[in-house]
Amino acid sequence: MALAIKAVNLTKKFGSFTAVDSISFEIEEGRVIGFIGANGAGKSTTIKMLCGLTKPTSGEALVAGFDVANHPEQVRQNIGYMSQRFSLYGDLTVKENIEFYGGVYGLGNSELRQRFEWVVEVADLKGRENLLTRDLPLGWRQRLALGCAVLHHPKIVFLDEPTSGVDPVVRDKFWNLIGRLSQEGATIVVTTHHLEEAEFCESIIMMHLGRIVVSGSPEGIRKQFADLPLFEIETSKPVEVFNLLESEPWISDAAIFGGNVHVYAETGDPASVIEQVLNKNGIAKYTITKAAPTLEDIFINVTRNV
Amino acid sequence: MFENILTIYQKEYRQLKRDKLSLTAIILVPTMMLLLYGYALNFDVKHVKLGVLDESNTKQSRELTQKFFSTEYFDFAGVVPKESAINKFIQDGKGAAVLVIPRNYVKKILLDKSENVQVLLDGSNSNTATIIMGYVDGILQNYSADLTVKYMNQKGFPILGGAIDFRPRVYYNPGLKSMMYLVPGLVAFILMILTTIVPTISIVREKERGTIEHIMLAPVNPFQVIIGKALLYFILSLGATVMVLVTSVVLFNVPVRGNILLLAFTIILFLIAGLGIGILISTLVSTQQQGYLFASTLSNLPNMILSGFIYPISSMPIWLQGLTYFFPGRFFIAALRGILLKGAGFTDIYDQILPLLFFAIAIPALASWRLSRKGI
Amino acid sequence: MKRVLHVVKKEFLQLRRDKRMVGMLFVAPILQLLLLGYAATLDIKNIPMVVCDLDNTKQSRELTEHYVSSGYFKLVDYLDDINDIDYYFRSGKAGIAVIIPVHFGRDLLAGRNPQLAVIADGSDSNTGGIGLSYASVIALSYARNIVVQRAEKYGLIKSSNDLPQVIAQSRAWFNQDLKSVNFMVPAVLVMVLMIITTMLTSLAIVKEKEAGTIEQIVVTPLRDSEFILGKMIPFTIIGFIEMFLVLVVAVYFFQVPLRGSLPALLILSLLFIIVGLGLGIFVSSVSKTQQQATMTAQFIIIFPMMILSGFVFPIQNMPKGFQYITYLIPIRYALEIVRGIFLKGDSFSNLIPQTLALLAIGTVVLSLSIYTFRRSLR
Repeated sequence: MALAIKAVNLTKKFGSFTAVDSISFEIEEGRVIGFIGANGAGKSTTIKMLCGLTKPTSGEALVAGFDVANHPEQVRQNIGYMSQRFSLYGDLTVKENIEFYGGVYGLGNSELRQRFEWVVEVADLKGRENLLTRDLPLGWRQRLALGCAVLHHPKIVFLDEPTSGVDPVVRDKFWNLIGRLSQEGATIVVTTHHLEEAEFCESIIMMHLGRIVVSGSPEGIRKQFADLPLFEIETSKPVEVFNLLESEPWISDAAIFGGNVHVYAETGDPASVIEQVLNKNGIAKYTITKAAPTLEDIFINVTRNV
Repeated sequence: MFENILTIYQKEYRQLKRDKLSLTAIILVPTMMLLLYGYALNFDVKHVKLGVLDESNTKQSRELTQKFFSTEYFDFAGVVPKESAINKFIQDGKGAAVLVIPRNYVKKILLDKSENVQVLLDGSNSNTATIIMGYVDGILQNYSADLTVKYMNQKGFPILGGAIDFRPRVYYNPGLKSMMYLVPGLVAFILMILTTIVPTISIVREKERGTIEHIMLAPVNPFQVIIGKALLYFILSLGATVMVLVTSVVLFNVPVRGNILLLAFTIILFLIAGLGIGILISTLVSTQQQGYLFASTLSNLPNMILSGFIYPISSMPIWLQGLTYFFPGRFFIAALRGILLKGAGFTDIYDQILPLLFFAIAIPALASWRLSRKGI
Repeated sequence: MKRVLHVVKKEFLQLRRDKRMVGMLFVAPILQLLLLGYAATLDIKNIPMVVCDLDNTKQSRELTEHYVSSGYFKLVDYLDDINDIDYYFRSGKAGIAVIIPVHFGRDLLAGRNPQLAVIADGSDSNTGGIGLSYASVIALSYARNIVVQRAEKYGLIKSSNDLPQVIAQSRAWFNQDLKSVNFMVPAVLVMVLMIITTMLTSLAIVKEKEAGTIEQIVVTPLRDSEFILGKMIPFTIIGFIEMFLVLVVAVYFFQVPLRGSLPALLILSLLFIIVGLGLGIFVSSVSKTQQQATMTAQFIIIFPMMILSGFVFPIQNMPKGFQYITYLIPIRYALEIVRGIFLKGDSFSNLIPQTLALLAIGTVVLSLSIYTFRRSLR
């Protein structure tokens, strides 16, 4: 399969602060890729470099086959970009925004009409075409923004924190739209700090402090980290159990999950050690099972010691 | 309540502290304006370049010409050969004016007759031209007086000295330096900007960005938000005023002859009025662009032009003179000139201070009435 | 090029929505015209005057009458005590005080050169200085009248013209009636254009930075130059509309003579507009927020330029060093051009140096600002 994006030793420094630290990766055409990481991990900066919004301090990136540094024009023809900041004109109507962006993307009249219908449909804005954009609820605005960003059928769509600040229902709708774009053949690159959203991606790249810490498909990553010493303790007294275990030096993480306690135990034969502690403290009824790590567990694990 | 105001104030202060560009402008501008006014700008029309077309070319005509160049008002700009060359002489900027002495000048003067000389000048700057014409009249009037006295003495009717011993004296600013005159206006001007334009934009910015909505969700009321913001600009403006006044005293010897407390009181009144205008405008507009245009055209421009800062109010048409009473600038500048330069006390200038007091109460009241009705 | 038109269209759509802004765009220049047209005069008239007439003779009253009827002075009060002058000055109720000493009339008639003290409030240096010189001219001319009367009485002369005298016949070219309207109103044109181009353009661009829409624009195939052009065109059009508005009011309402070439005025204004736009783009490239843009445009660009341009303060009055600085200020040339065309009847051929200077400044400013703007985007 052809590559949509290839980055080699991409680095961005702001003064003495290194936002992105020499990262390299490849993204195949037609995939949905998620950049996962906390705020400040370098996801947005990476995307901005790929779109040509900021110049890399060093390293290079090929986007849709073009070098971002040397052929920004060709790159822009082939990409769509939507940022976490709302970037439609609030004082223009839905229709005027679509027409404006269609115009700057150089769409012909018939194509513009067709895409207009498409955006109105996918963003669920039928009958709201003449409303001022600033009067729309956030969810609609975000779908409209995405619609405007892909008016020209870009090969690659960059979405920088597209779902920040919206409720889960709106978020699901937004992901449906992303799925639709993907089906139409676009490569999608999304950044998010919601780990649940990673499940929607075919492949994820986890970033931390400007570096890639893990990458691969969600399934593959989970397999790779299947033997993390994670244990689930089912008990009727989760708070007591939690309090008991949390202070143990070999427990590097403990959390209450529903009625259960999750622990990350770094010791030889953790199950029996946990048993000892609980028995000693008079907790009788419990079951300990080895838990399969979630992406969140993995993320916490791989970033803990960096 | 005070905690809330203080919190808002602190937020504003921190934001401004980070905004190096705005901060530079706020600090730089008063200083720069003061230096410009102190060193570069004045209305003193001196050393006007005067060309001479002396068709008479006699001892007497040269004596007259000499009268012009012995003053500091005129500098010799060259001889204009003939009348048709005058136009080009002025248009090319070789001289600002040309003195034409007619051919039969000496004849008439020797016959003790009245004679006209012509002064042709570029009138496009009417102010400068009027002043130059005043100089010319003065010089010729003096010269004529000399001639008359000489004549009368010759005829045996002695006149001592001149006809009138004119004794001009200037109070408060003996050197007639425009600097002294402009400093009060400059303070008003800087205050007008710092209290009206800058806060207006700062308030409207939050409106435009929607951050004001977030603040409003917190348990603070609009008045506390506004007062917190206003407080910062109050302090900034006060600082700028002190800086301008101290610099003008130290660098340009501008006197502070009146009572310092009265001075501070007057400045604070004007400052409150200005902040009131800024807040009022910010309740009327919804974008920063509008805010700027409103504040600069509806408040700053009239406050400056109609205040007597540069243009004397007494020379304006009557209806416009009436309009000047609606802007605090006029009272402030008059009061400031009185206190700084003339040592005026409250009883001397109560009729400037009381209107200022009125503005300082009425405008904020109007602004808070709008705030309570419409919110920010 | 088609993409540029889309940006232009967008700008106008946005402006159309902002009714208050459109209103202000028309109110502002009219207000500026009215205020500066009527108020911006340094002519000295009606200086409030107090007279302390210690003589109280026919002559002292005649002299007072001469002062009042000249139109330069307005009699506020007669004072009995010289010490009261202080109060009148301090309270700003009088700007000039005339003290006519005892025996003034007797000494004047006898040719004994009586003193006449005139005191000016120097805190208003301009009025004070000019007031004193008017006062001196009026006093001397009155004294001459007395001498003429004496000479006539003794049969020395038949008419006042027989006494030697040199009279100035001043003729002001280009603005015969010396109306300050003719000087100030054309300048308003420059001021309005400057505000629209530098101030509003920079605000319009920075607004997009603040809203984040500029990022969206940057990733589209729209070139930076197309974006800049798309921003410049609407403001050039608005600038032209405003210019016509000001022109019409200037010529038909204020009756300012438009003696020179209208095409020259239009074309050279366009040149000035481009310089102003360049400055606006420069401001927008160094500012991140509209607040910063306002401060930078207003304080660092417009004010100093206005002050040093000859708009109010004559350039020839400035120290030499500052006069050289004014050569770098585009408004200086714009003012010379506009005033020249209106009052002096200039056309292109008279304005070549100014045109070249504007062209040079325009080229430098525009290329520098486009360069910094592009850099600021990445």
